[in-house]
Amino acid sequence: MKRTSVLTVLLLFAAVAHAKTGVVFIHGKGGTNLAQASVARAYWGEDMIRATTKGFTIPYLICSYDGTQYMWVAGNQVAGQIYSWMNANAIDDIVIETHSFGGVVIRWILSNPTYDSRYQPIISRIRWVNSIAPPNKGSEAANLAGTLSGSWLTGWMIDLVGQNNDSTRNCTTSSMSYYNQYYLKGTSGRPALPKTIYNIAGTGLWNDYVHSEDYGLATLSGVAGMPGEDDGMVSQYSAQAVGVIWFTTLANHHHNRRNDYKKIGDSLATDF
Amino acid sequence: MKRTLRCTLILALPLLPTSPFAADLTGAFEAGTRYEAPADHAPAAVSRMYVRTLTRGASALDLPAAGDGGMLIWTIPAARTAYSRPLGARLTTPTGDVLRNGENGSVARGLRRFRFDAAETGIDVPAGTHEVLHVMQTQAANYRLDVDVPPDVAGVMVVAAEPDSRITLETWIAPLSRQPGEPVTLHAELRDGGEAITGATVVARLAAPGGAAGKPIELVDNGNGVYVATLAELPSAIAGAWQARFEADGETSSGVRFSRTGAGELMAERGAARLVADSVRVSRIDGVLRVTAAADAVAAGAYRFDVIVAGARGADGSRPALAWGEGVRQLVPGTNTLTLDLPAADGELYVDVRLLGLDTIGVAGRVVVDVRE
Repeated sequence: MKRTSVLTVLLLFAAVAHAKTGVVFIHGKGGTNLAQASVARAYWGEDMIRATTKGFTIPYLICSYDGTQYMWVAGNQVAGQIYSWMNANAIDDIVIETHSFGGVVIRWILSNPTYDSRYQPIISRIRWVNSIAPPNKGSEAANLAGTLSGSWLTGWMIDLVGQNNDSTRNCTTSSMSYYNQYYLKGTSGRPALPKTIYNIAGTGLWNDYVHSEDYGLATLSGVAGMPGEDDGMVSQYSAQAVGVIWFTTLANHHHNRRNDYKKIGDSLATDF
Repeated sequence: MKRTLRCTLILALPLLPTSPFAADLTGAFEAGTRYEAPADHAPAAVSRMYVRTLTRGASALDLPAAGDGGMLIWTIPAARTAYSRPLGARLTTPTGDVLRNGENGSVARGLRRFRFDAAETGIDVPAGTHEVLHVMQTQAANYRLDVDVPPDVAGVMVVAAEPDSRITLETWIAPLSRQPGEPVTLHAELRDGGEAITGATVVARLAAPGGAAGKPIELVDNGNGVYVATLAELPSAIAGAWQARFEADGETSSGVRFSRTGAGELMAERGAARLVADSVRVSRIDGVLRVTAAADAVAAGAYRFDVIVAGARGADGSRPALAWGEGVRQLVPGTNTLTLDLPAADGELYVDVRLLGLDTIGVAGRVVVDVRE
């Protein structure tokens, strides 16, 4: 019995010694064009990918999915890409990096291992997840999008203003409250996730005011009524509602997926 | 710390008690976890802003301000294509100061104008150049906004926000997960700091998923700052996320006029299946806790049978969360028998049984049962 245990541990160490590590990037919500590989790559920026992968020395996959869809649609698109990539490259130790809604998409996969046959094999190979600014309890900005949608206007203006897409609906505080209670794991009172999530919350707004780039986020933060600190899109309380707090960043929602205002990619690279 | 955890996880792998490839998944909650029943409604949305619409026929607005902080006035052009030119809004303050079209204002004046591309907000608003006027410190009075609505712009949405204001509108709709036939409650609460605001006019409109809003529904003033309306039915049987938009107008006890716009949302379930309430049985058999239930399905397909087991209430009224289990089941039209085995648990139990849609996401049913020792 004792010999068997020792052998098991030795075999495990041997397996770890030969583990092939890879990193997967899962972007947030956006347009349908995020299903294109080039657009998804641009979402992160070359320097974020370079820094995280230590100069492209760690095998990596940048997932690209239609950024307008619900988490289960996005989850299946992402799972298909990870499953093919990890098998084709014999990757058996995966660190997942997510931004914004990408953190909800991976939580869908982790929470629902029986939803799709590819989910469990992927989960088994995940070491952990680093989740940047995930709207785990929703986003007041998504609520505002609903308030400003065309639904509330008179007939001829509805078409001009349009309706929210599914990923925005997914991210309202009401929707996330619903999904957290029934479909997602990891929040208070719910079963634990099978793998650890380390969250990184954004707490700053003004990163690039010289170029006026951040006025949109600052306006959103002021109008949407986000409680406490936020990054212009996601409140700190929401980002930190799941997993272990790794650190907070002053980089706002535009910048905390890049490696520019604050060197978040350098921090992610410390995993390898 | 992360590396230490990694090593611990790897060494702990052989100790995992269940196969990760089992059809049904079960697990135990971490010690100290308290059971949480699903909330009847989402956390209240708290608003310190209001929304108006301008058209070429009515291109001026009086915007009430509370006088207890700054105000942001965001103008959003609604046009067939992205509108890239500044709208040119003019703001007149209660003292007669005018921020004219083309003026950017200054900190010294306490009035400023900014512009940004709609894409920077990251939310689904009309594309193009948007403008924000910032009043750094308002007075408790009306500000007048005039917008020259160009011929190629159908209208302008105006969002006025007072991020630091004591006047708040909190809103929600219940139930968050609504089964067909259940009544709907529209709830609003107006506060001026700690003081309830009574005598206001509060209306709500409901919009089906992707649809247009219905007629205004007046909420009844309960006299304590709470305004409520109860509907026996939704306006239509469309399933999915229904949204409500609340509009409140009134005066505080100190005579400050205000407006607020709030939001709420509920999930109208399809009624595709239901758990038969008195069918749930929990038995301790062969070292497991076996949960069985009957489900009546209208729509065949994949569902998930979820069970959460909690213990007896403690002195503080809460229950310890003990175990959970879940399994995918293919239901056929008619009555289906569902069974799930969980780790054994002794003593008094509280068992929360759920049926969740997987082909179409949505809650089909939930039943709770007390199990005596």
